[in-house]
Amino acid sequence: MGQIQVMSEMLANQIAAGEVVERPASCVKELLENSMDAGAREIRVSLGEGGISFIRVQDNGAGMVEEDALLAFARHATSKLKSPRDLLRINSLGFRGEALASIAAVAKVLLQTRVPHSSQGIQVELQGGQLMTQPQPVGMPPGTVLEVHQLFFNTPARLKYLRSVQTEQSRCVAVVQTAALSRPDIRFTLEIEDRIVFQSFGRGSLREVLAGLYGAGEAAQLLSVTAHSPDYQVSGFIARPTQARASRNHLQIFINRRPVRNLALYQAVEAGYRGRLMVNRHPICALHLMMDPGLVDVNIHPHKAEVRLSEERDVAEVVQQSVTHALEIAFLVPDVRAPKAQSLPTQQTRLPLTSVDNRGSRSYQMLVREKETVLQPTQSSTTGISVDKQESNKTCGGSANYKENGLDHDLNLQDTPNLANLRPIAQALGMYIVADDGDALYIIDQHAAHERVLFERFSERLQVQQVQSMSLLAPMTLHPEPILYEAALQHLQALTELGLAVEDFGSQSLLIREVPAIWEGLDASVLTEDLLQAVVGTDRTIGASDVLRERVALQACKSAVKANHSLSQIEMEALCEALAKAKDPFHCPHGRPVLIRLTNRELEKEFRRIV
Amino acid sequence: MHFNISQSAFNQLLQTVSKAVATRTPKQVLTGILLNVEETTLHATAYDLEIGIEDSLDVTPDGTLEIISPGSIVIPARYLTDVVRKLPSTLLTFQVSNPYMADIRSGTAEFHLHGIDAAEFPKLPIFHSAKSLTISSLLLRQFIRSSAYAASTLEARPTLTGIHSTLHMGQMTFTATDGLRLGMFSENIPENPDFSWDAVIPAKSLTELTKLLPEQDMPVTLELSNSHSLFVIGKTHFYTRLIEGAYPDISRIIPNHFGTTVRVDTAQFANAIDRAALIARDKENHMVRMELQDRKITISSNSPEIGNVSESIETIETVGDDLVIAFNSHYVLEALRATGSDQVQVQFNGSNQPFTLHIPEEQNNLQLISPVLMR
Repeated sequence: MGQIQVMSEMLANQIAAGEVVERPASCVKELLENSMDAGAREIRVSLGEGGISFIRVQDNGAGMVEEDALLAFARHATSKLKSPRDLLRINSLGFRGEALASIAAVAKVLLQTRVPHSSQGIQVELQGGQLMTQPQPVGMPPGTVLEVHQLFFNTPARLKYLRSVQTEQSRCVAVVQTAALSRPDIRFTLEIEDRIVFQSFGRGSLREVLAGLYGAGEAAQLLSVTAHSPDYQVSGFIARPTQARASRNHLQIFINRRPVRNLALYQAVEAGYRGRLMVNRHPICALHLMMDPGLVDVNIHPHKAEVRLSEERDVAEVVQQSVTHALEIAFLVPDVRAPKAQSLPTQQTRLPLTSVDNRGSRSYQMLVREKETVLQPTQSSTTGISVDKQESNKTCGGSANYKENGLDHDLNLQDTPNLANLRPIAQALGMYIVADDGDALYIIDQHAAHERVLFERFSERLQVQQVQSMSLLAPMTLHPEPILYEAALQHLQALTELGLAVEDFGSQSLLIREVPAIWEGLDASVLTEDLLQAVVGTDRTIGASDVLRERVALQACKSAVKANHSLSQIEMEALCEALAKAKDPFHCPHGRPVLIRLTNRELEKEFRRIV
Repeated sequence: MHFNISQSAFNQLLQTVSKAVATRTPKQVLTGILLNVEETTLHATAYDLEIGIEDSLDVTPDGTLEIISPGSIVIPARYLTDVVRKLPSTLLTFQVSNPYMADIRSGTAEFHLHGIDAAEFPKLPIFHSAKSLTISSLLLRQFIRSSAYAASTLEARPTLTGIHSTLHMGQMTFTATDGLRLGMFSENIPENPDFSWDAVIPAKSLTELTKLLPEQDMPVTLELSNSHSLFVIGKTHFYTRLIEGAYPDISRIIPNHFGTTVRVDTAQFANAIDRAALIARDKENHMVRMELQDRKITISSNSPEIGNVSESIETIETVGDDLVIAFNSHYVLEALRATGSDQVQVQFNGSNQPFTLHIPEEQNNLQLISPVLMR
């Protein structure tokens, strides 16, 4: 008798579940996507023990009739895709018809659903993929409730490799927050152990959602990004360079409202910040890209976080340009604010994505206070969403305050770059120029300012002149990584323009004949690798010439005035004037700030002229 | 361990070896100087594991050195050299009474310096049956001066930070290159030894060695083992590590026919380039342009921000085509300095090929430079 047998359906489902549902957070993600695809305007998520013992997702979406409710748990059953053609133009978040089947295979699931025109909902209970009871009628508001109990109760191996409750919980929170960013028009509420830890208002304002994540103060400082091209539309917010974080976790990119991970796009955003961020600092951003679904392939992995873009370079370029543009028109002078002593005792501060923000000051506190009062009455979450009518009214009331408190005003604050009126007053501590422009006091780091001025002068020169090169006496062979080798072959012309003449030497090696004639002691092989690395990156010409720019920056740095170098009034005036003309007067070539501002209002506050 | 020594002789001895004292090292004993007293000789040694210098002084009847009892100790170089330098120029007494505590007495001054056990000091490389050869110190200086400047200072390609030293059929050659320029010097060795060698010696070490070479001519013995080389100058022994790895083959990159050959006065040529380099100072590559037309050389440089300069000099002799070429002025000035003759012969093959400089009528000294490409 043969050894090979067809697996039982249950076993097959358990195996497949490993791909789709690997931890509570992925379960939450799948359920949220279903709710969003069902056209919900409001989604409530509750978690118990980090989602391991209990996940509940309730929406006010389309709901299902009895027949659908049963079929929904079958593998490869979906309402989202009807023909193979649909696969090329996916408009929904889900489409594989695997999520519910997979979740049901590894947990105890309770489904309650009601279509709006029906007078009652139905309830279905499953355990390990098996129907436990026949569908029963149940009273509930329209929409769907899906409860997942004891995830992985029948797959001990999976359970064993889960992280701590705290870790799993923070992952779930991140999933909900990301979903809220992807759909500012949906009201999201996340409860953990009957406490609301995150909530969005569903009024379509992305900045409002970001305020919930980072605090109103931080959110008010974010810069708006918009760009249109025939094929793509970019909108969203990016942080000022001063708000940069130490990790890339705060880069959120959505393609057609789907959160995606795409290195090329991350790099494009960071390239947009070029020269404005310090080393190892990463920006915060929430960017929505809208494009024809035909231009993006999401059917790569069951998680759908990785996507393939048919014109990745084009998309990256649009993103980079929009980011650069937003930063260029912004007035990026950090304000000096006296630290506030009040702490913000709210649940918000405990969220992984949320930072305690002292600068958020009054408006943020008001906002939080509003939230707390509003949310308390509806803490017990087993009841339906109908109760929320009252609550949402209240929230609207709250949002009125929220506006009055000046956040919206801040949001629309137009930054007007104007350093032309800068008038130096004196030099302080041997390294700072104190200046004013009639409205505010500026403190300028003389070294950073001079560096910036020299850097722009040098790079201009580099742009005007073609990069000159010198031929090596003996050509040098280089054995780069295969990916760099391929990149080099594709961009021989671009490299030549940068003064680096490279030839294919066969068998994965390159022959370097000419090197750029930029300063002495140049390490040809290291430079070549750097240039190639840059070429492999998203935006090749800009990226590669950056490597040369870095060398320029170094030179600029060396000849800039140092600290403890006393400057005369004339020198300070000349420096301020040159700085005002710089393209980016706000950052030195290494991304440190050049000047900070102390506004008249802040001074008046500190001297208690206004309270 | 106990000896009396004249301050000036001791100072001289310590200054000689102190060039090999390690400055930044986690191993403390390397920052010291090893003093070793034998029956009739005082040895001083410093060794930073890259280079090592050992010098010695014998007991003489005039009383410069008087040895009372032998022994050895390592004293931190920074303190020992400064202490001895500042002592009055009379006889001083050096004695180790307590273990590892050196007492230095001179006149009314009395120093007690903590020392380190001499057994901890690394042993200098041993040269058993090594190849050896004796040349004039003046010639050795010329060998080093003509090549060392062209060695690379970047550790990316370690062999290029060394000087390739070869001996073949009685001819010794020193070559160094950083990939964009090359300095080479070769000479027949009078003794004409019947062996050959091939070693890469760190250029930094050899530059350090030139500081030890005396002004007047004296024989220097070179010894070579697989991993080290030793230069013996009188009583001074200079050890250096060799760089491992094969030196690139440079025979093919030295052109053997030229389109243009000019002979110029070295000082005139160098001064013109030096002046033109003033304008090119802030440029990325210190680039200077040279135009040869009607037996006249025009050196020029311009900077959009600073201004421009142009200077013409007559050539002594010109053969071949006119040309325009651009080069890094630093490279050419250094090569001219290495050539060190009153006149220099410069040979070109068009604007974009490497050009050479050497002493007219002599082929043993060659400087090769890659120009800035003109497109």
